[in-house]
Amino acid sequence: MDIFYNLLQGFQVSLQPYNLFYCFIGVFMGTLIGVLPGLGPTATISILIPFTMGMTPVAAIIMLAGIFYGAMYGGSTTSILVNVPGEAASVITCLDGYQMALQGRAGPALGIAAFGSFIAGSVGVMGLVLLSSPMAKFALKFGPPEYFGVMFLGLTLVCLLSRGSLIKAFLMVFLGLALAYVGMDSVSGEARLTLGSFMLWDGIGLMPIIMGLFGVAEVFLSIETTFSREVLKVKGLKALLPTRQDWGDSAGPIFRGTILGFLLGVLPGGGTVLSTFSSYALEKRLSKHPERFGQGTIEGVAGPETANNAASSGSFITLFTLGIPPNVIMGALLGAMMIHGIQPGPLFLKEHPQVFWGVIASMYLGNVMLLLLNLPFIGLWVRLLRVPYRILFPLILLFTLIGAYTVRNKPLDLILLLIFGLLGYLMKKFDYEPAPLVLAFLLGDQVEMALRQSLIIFDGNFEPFLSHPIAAAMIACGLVVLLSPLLPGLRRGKKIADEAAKLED
Amino acid sequence: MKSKEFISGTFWFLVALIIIWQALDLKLGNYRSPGPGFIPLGVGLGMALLSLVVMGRATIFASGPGLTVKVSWNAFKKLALVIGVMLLYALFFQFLGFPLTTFLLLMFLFKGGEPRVWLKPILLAGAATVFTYFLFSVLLSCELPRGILGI
Repeated sequence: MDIFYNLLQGFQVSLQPYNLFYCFIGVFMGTLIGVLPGLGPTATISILIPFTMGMTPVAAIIMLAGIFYGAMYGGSTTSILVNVPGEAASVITCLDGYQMALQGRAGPALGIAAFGSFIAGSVGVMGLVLLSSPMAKFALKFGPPEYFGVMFLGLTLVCLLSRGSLIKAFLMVFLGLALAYVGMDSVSGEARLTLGSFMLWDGIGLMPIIMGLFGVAEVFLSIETTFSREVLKVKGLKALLPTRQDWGDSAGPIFRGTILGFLLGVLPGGGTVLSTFSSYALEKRLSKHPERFGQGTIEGVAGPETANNAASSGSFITLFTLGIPPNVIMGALLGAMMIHGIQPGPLFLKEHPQVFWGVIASMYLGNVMLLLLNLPFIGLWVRLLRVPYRILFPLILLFTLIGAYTVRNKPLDLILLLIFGLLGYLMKKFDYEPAPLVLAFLLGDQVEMALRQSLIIFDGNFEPFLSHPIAAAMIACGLVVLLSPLLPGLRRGKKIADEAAKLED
Repeated sequence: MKSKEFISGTFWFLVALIIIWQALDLKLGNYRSPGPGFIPLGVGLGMALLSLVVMGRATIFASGPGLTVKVSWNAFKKLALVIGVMLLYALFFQFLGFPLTTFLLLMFLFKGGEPRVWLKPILLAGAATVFTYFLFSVLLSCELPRGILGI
């Protein structure tokens, strides 16, 4: 009963006109960036953090969360109508969605994507409501060794699930940790890794890193590429409604996509992109007609589009209850929460119930808004694709520059933004993934604190890492991931992640 | 010519050496009481080891497709222009102030290296500068540098 009472209170918070307005702005912006290729939800959340400075923390988090799940809705539109994924989690939708559009069935493809997303989003939020409290209570038992174990597992899973070489991914984890240690040490007060520069005593800001690696680097890469944007037409709202046959074919994929997506969202290192590929692979394996996949079958749209929305709800659990971002988008949200003085973790639910339940309730409302935004106004969103990229990219760059500066008011952050933009561009060219770097940077201080505290508490003894069951289990799983290149099952999982990344390129 | 793997491995190895050198300047402490340099040193050593593995693999598998990075001359020119303009923006942001540097940045980016097109980029840059100034400085009360114009 407590849960329903709390949820009711959450609705009271999220239904306040002020919060409702920012929820709408969030899902609107999410749909917008989901539709427009070249700017993902991570960069958008980072760019919009300065906008939230004057807002209440609850409105700020409601808006930024709306961007995340809104992007999952909007991304399908361009995949289906233009064969260009608006963001990474909609890459797989191109395969069958665009084929359906070519066969004159763009309407049902868009319709099932929107309805499937709505169902998954709503069920995912219910899962979030039911699991958050027990998870938070469980996490209260965690000490430094347990936290170290969870973060170790999270970082190794991010490496396993990012594309390409595992060694390169771990290299990026080390780089991210090193960047996190630049600046004053919080224990001794000594300046570390500053190369003798006073300007680096405050450390490196999160915004230049995220916006550089994800925003600026994407623009640099997009300048090289010319998108082909032949937009297919959809005839009216009626054409968007799937037939009874479509619903029959999609019911299974929607059900399975919801569960699979949610579970992969909770998993540290998982996320929306992986959930779409896993769902597609699962549906193809279960289908009586696997040969139809890639030729325009509705199951190939329903499963992945459902899975990415369920995953977006699931990933909030790990962030809100453990304080650990399971993927880089949640990392950006963690950054925003910290800027607003909110530390997610086991105590988050107790210390900020209004924010916690308010954000969760806003997700229900946001899902309804998204359904209303996406179906009747599909024509409007498609028209946006006709805005030339040469007009868009200077504006994107300007927003990243302003965003990088306004968080700390330091001109150095503009230079750092450019450096990380260039680094992100080169990393892409040299096949390095930025996600492990960013997550390691975000967790760097916590990893160090957990390790140092454990060693001090247990008198330099490493034994508690193995004798505490939760810590030992997490570290053991992490070690299995480290040795995964030798294990055939995990190698297959890595192959799926690599295929996902290849298609994303 | 060495493969891109070898080049990137060497680069990260040099970065790792810098981290190790910086960490060794700090108190390392011991297992019972780790000092500020303890974990950075471990990070630097881990990074050095992994970059050596990347270099080693590149030496063993020295041939095959996709081993070099290709960027067309046109793309390189465009990219160089954008990076150059952004660098100048960062360097003169404080001195010239937000409105003026933003106007210049947008004008050059909208113009995109085309020699005789001026009016459209100037109008677009002007409109976008006024909009962002109003949004950030007036509506959101962000502290943006006023520079020599004093606005």
